[in-house]
Formats: sequence, C-alpha cells, structure tokens
Amino acid sequence: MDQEYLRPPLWRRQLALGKLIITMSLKCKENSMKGQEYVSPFEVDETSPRHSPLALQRLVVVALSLSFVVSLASCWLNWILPDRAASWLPTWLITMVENQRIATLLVPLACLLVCYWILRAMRGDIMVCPERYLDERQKMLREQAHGSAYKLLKRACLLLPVGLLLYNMYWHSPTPVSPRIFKPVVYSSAFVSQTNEVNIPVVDTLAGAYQQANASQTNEVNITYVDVSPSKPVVISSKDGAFHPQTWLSVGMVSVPRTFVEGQEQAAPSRWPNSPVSMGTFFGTLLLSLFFMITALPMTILAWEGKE
Amino acid sequence: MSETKIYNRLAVLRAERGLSRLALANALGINYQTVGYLERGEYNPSLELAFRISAFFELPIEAIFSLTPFKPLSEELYSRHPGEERRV
Repeated sequence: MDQEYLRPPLWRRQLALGKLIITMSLKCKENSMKGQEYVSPFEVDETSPRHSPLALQRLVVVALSLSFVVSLASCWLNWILPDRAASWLPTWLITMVENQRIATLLVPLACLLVCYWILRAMRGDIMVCPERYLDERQKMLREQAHGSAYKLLKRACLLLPVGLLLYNMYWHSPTPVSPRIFKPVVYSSAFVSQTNEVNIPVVDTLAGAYQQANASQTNEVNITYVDVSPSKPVVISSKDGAFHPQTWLSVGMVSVPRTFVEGQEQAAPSRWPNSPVSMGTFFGTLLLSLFFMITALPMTILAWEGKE
Repeated sequence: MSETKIYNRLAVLRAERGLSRLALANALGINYQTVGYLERGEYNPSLELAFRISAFFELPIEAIFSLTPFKPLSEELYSRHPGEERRV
C-alpha cells in the first residue's frame, strides 16, 4: 500500500502542529501560574505584565547596538578600503568586504531594522503613543528618556571631532586616488623591501592590498601606488606613468629590478562608492543606520532601565 | 523629580471601597500601573493628581498623603491615650 497516500495532507499536519504548540504554551502558562503565590483580587491587574522580561529587553538593546556598530564599521571599511589604513585589519575581512560590498552594508542594516521593530513593539507604548493617551507618570518617563538620549547624543557629537582628528593624525592617508591620472607600470617578479625612511606605511609583500607612497623627487611630491600580491607582478601606478628608480630608492625600496615592462592601461586603485547606485547604497545605509539608532535611543534607555 | 517620598493611604482606601487598580485608574484618568507606583510610593503624584484623588475619595489631601509615614488606621482609631475617653 502506498504509504504516502495514508499521510494526512500538509495543511492538516500544519494545523495539528499549531494546535500542539498552542496547547503546550497554555500548559506552560498554567504550570507557571501554579507556582505563583496567592494574589489578592485587587492586585489581579498587575499579575500579567504588559512588557517583556527585562533580560529580553536588554538582549534586544544589545543586539540593536551591535547591529549599529557593525553597520557603521562596514560603512567605514567600505570607505577606507583603498587606503593602507586598513592594513592592520585581517586579510579575510578586507577580502570579504571587497567582494561583497553591498551585502556587508545591507545585512547589518537589516539586523538593525529588525531589532528596531522588536524594540518598538516592546516599548512603543510610551515612546510612540500620542501624548493624549499618556498619564503624567508616563509623560515624565518619556521626557526622562528623551533627556538621557539628548545627553548621550551631545557627548557623541562632542567626541566625534576628537575621533576624526585622531583618525586623520594616525591612520588616514590624506592622498585622494583618481583612476584617471595614474598610469600603471608593471614589474615582473619584483621584490619589495620593507624599509621606510619618510614615514610612509610599510610595503607588505604578502598583502593583496594597495600600497600608497609619497616620494620626493626633484623637490616635488610624486604620488605612487603599488599593488602588491604574492602571485602577481607588482603594479606601480604613478602620475606620469614613468618609473623613477631613484624615487623608490629614496623611499627605501631597495630591490626593485631595473627591467620593467610598460603595462597596458588599467585602472589604478579607486575609491568606492564610485557610481550613483553605489553612492546611494552607501550613503543611504549610513543615513538609515543613524536615523534608526537615534530614533530608537530613548526606547533603548527605557528598555535597558526596565521602566514601565 | 524630587527625592522626597510622599506616603499615602491609597491602597487602604481602595481596598475599603472594593476597587481594583484598573477601576481606580479609570476613575482618575491615569494608567493602572501608575496606581501601583503610587501605592508603593515609587512615584509622587503631581498636585493636580493629588487633588483629583482627594476629590474622588471625598477626603482632605492630608488624610491621603503625608510626608511622614502613616500610623495604622486601627491604631489611630482605637488607641487610648491616658485621660482620654474612647470615642464610639
């Protein structure tokens, strides 16, 4: 006999599963009620708390904050990736961001949105509800939450210039990159040494990222980019497309071979976002992340403190 | 928000009248959780709310709210002071 024929249809199995889940949840609730001490009839209004447990609320707050931090970090990574500022980051992370730029931007944003809606469902009663439905205590809670959020934002805004200053002082390479003004020169089997005399980020022969160098040649700054990859020949892109051995010698690249081949035109390292779609995605993600975090900030304060 | 705790007899008065928190909250136009906060002394009412409560119970404000802890009603009613006749 065909066993498949005897099986109930899918909708009936789903219905039975739903019934089972509801019965089990009711049993659980009944068992938990049995453990409670006797409650006066006058207190019955408060036996069923309207809000989720504090631990769950705090968990959502942590998830929201993490999503926000990851979202900002992914924006930052996508922005600085062509620079050597990312040289201290693990290679797998750089490769992942480089290969899946849109996904690294959108996934944290999606997590942020989900956490935002969960938090809103949990604590939206005070923060989202129109004021005419709130009593004086709830209005006071709302005002306190807004006040605390304002203080946090004020501190963040004051710290932001300090952070930017430190970033520019220690990590950021200020030279902009434009693919149009650089012409690459390809060296076969070049070997790059690690010396550094003019405070330039050190060339890493193992990293598959771009190396940026500022070299002084006849009293002018010559901007050069080197693409270093273990399996490929070294690509040096300079403004005039010519190779100046003395330039590289002056910045400490000792073992560059003298023989080189003029490479075909290829794009020098370029900054991303470089198209309207990518710019829209990048700045849209940044804007939405900031918007949802700032909007959710008073709710996160309420949820964290467990005030009802 | 002031740190001074204001004591009240809301729980006793509500129980005397057989009101639930929800019923009292509806009568006063506040959230039922606020009644709980008031009874536990975790929230001090505004002057307006205090007057509303006073009007609802038809009692003077000082009979409901106080800056010092209230004595139990039984003690206030039935305790005999020396040389004082018990009122019936």
